[in-house]
Amino acid sequence: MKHSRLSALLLLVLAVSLVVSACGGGNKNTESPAASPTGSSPSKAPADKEPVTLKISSWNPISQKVIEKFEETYPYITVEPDQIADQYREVIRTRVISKADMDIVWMFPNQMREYVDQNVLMDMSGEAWKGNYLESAVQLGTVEGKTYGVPYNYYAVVIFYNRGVFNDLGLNVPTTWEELLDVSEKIKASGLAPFVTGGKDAWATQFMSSGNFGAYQDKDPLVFEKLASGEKKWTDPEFADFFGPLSELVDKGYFLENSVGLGNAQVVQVFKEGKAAMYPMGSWALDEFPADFKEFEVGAFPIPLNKAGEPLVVNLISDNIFTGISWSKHPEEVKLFMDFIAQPDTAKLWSEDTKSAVTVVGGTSPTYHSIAEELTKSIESNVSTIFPSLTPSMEPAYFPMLQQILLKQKPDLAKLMEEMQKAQEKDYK
Amino acid sequence: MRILNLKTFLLFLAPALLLYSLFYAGPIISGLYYGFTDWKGISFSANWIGLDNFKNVFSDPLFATALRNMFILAVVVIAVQHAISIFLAVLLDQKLRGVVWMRAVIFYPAILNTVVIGYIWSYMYSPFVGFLPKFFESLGLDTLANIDWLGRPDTAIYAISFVIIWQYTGYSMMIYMAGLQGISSDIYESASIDGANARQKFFKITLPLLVPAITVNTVLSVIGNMKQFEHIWVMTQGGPANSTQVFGTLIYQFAFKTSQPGYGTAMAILLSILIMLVTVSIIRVLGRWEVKQ
Repeated sequence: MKHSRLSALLLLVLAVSLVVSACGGGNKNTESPAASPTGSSPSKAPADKEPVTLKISSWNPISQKVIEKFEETYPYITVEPDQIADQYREVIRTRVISKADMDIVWMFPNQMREYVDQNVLMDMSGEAWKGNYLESAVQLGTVEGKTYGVPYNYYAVVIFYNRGVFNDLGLNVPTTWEELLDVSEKIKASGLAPFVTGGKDAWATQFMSSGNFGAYQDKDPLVFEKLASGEKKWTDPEFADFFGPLSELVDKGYFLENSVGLGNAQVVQVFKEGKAAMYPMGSWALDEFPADFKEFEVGAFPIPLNKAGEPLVVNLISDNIFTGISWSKHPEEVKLFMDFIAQPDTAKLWSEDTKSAVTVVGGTSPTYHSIAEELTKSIESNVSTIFPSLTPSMEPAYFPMLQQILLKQKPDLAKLMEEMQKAQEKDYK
Repeated sequence: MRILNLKTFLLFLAPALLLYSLFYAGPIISGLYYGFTDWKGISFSANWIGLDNFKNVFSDPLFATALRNMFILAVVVIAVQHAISIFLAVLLDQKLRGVVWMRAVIFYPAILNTVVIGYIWSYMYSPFVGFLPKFFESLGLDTLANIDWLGRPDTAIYAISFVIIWQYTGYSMMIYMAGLQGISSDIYESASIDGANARQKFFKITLPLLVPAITVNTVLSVIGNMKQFEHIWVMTQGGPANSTQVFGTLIYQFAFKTSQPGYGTAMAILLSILIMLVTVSIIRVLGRWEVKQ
């Protein structure tokens, strides 16, 4: 019985999702009270349209205000948000296998290619809204020249810092690697740990290494595709210093002692308690510092892994790609929604409502957080690239290496790059 | 009449058989099949690749780590948990004041949700916010207080074992108590008449007659620990640096995180064979020690 655990589980999830999707289908007739137009319907929404329910699956909440505005504009459409906060990939995967009733689905960048190969996604190359987005965002939703979607939010990889500590010690925000080391040394000398990062949530420890991705992409925009196809190798000299920065910080004792066992939530807590001065993380962690956080003034700056004279490349992370499902029963309405969210006004509403930056040009609200304006300025004044998605075998190999370094096991960094390459080769086509 | 009986028989059998085929037999067979393929988990199509998955499992260094951790968990947990639970079972089998209450308290962790327990203990162990370091500090044991229990490869798996023992001691205690209550008091009486002391009674009567309960408990904990997943996933996710990976976490990782469900399935097949072998051996060995009352 044990050896069927996995398949049994999969089948069960599949069966449940079938049942769930069947229920979703049933809603169509019972819901959508807005479907009976009262004469004031906008020009785009003819009064004789059948009521339509548009299902949108996402891992974070979809802006309720945007949904309301969309439903106002198209009274015959009811949006049914379907947030799956946990195990998102797995749930979507089982739904795709069972061809469940889906319309719009967020996809992670590294799911795009395989789902395109399986004809799961709707081709939206011809849509006019493409021009409204950052070029790099459209690229992320494009596979072999065809656009299947676009990521909507972006975050920057930054170092959060305790402004109080910086002010007391008379430190400036560093913009090069040398300056960062200098700042760290001074903080350490004052008796405080310069950095804190956990080890339990291995993904959260990656930014002092993954921060290099921006520079790699800046030099060669196709670098990660080349790595995935074998044209470049992780053992090539250009990647030799990949683990260098993290390793140097560990060797110099800049990380808070005994923090490898901490999960990211605990790390945030430790940083908030002022036990360390800097915390590398994505700007989504701004949520951790709401207006009523008064312990100290928090700031954030892009991670400067660049040596003096090199450009500072800001890493943006953008992963919630809005895609349409090829077997959706409402392809027209899917396109209406995609067009709707591409409008700067809608984007601003989203940005304000969800307190996040959006990829629609001119769509990010400057007031979504108290440090949003400053952060947006520092991002826009530098070169920026969107974080690539590594192929599936990479993270399980890469993240434990970070833990080895944090544990002061002093692994041979060249050997680690060989391991990275080995993991990469598993995903060669 | 006979035909009617057969029809009735089939009619009664059908629902269970259908459910069993759908949810057990079917997945077992398809699981076996997918273990020999490069299935990606998106569509039902997969290429037959023979024994490649199994060969890769054996050459995977994580396989050795998983084996080692499985062994540590099985041995440490069984030895410690069972010694404690037999002791507690004998103790709480006496007619003492508040004994029912004590049994309930010791059994209580077994009914708690494992994920909740995992999170609570992650905090308890934490050197910054945890209870354990403060406890050691108050005893003046600063070296112990400064250990990042879940963050060190040499302590993490033992720290997790401790939580498992804490959670399930009460559970095995209950099984041992059921075993104790099955031992006839006549035997103790006659032993007393023969002049046996308490120690002799325990080693010559109680323990040998508890062997059936020991077998049940051992098999249950061996299976539970060999397919361990929840405690480790919640407390360390197999880290730091893969030091607490077990088959459960690896199978999950390969099947769902890295799009290699075929490989994960192969590992699951190996694990089930391993569990089967170990379980049969335990039953054989302990079976020989069982004595008839």
